[in-house]
Amino acid sequence: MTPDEKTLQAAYAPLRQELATAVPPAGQEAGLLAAFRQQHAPVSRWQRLVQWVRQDRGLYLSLGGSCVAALAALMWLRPMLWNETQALQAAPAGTLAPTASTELTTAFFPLGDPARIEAAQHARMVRVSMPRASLAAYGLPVNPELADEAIEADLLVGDDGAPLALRFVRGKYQLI
Amino acid sequence: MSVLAQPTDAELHNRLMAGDEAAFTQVYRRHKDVVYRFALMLCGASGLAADATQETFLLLIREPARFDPARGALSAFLLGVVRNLVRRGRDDLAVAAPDEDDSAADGSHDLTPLATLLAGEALSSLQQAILSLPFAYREALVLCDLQELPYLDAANVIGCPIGTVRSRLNRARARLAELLAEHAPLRLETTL
Repeated sequence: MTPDEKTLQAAYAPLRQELATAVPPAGQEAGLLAAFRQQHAPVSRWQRLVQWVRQDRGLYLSLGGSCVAALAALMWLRPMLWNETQALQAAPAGTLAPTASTELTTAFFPLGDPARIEAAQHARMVRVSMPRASLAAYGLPVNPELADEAIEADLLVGDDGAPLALRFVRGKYQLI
Repeated sequence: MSVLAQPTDAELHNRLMAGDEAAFTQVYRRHKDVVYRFALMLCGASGLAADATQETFLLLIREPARFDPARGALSAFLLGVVRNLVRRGRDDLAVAAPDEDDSAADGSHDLTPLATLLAGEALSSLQQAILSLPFAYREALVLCDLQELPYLDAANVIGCPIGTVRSRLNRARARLAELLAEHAPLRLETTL
């Protein structure tokens, strides 16, 4: 033991003595026992459920609740979705047909000889923007108020870069 | 006459988890002083130490499964909890507002007034010096030097390797010796 440690050990003695007399407040035990009794008191089913939710199950319940809410929303929207799908499916070729959930497209209009489409080994689709007036060339109605605006279209392009077919695209709630 | 064996902490913990109030009382009475004294030496204020002690045992009441007998002694668990409570929420407050009452005089009624005064000053200086140590040094010093826990138990409380406890303790002692030397009261004869 170094001289410093000896000095420290000597200095500790009165502190240890004082520490030996330090005790927590006398009333603390009674308070803790009351808390213990409360913790272990018999609880009703409802209280048990509330306790269960307050603990770590809240997350699972909220996830479950979200699933139920999503299912309910789906059930509520189902008739509307069903009607829209039916209407779109019933539309004649060349007019609107459903594709992705966020946009509607027409069927493809062949450009030139339709046999070229079948003959093409590979084709790729390119999204282009066209004058809205070009709808008329394919027998589609053009809204005069929107005639100056552009409309998007998917161009089916063959191996040689030549366009094979075309379809018009619109947002789900966008007017053609 | 046969002496009844005291139940172990693990047995008491099992009974406590089942709602046995007597078991909890026994656990509390067995460990309350050690927990309180450790908190007191860490934060330096009896009110905060009492609060931390109460919260420690409340945790044992509300979440008794947090203690796993396979991982260490109940005393180490309780000291670890109170250490974390003091460290997280109360350390800065405690050092800023230590107890003002000089309780050193209580145990020195048979000393002369001058000796009492000097003893009180020395004790107060030591307490202040310990409180001014960095937390990591302070807890090692309190556990090993003042509460005289084995290094292994101190390592369990702090949650670090035993070698770290040793090195922190050495540094704490060196720092404390420096602090005490800096603030040593002048010898009586030099002040006259």
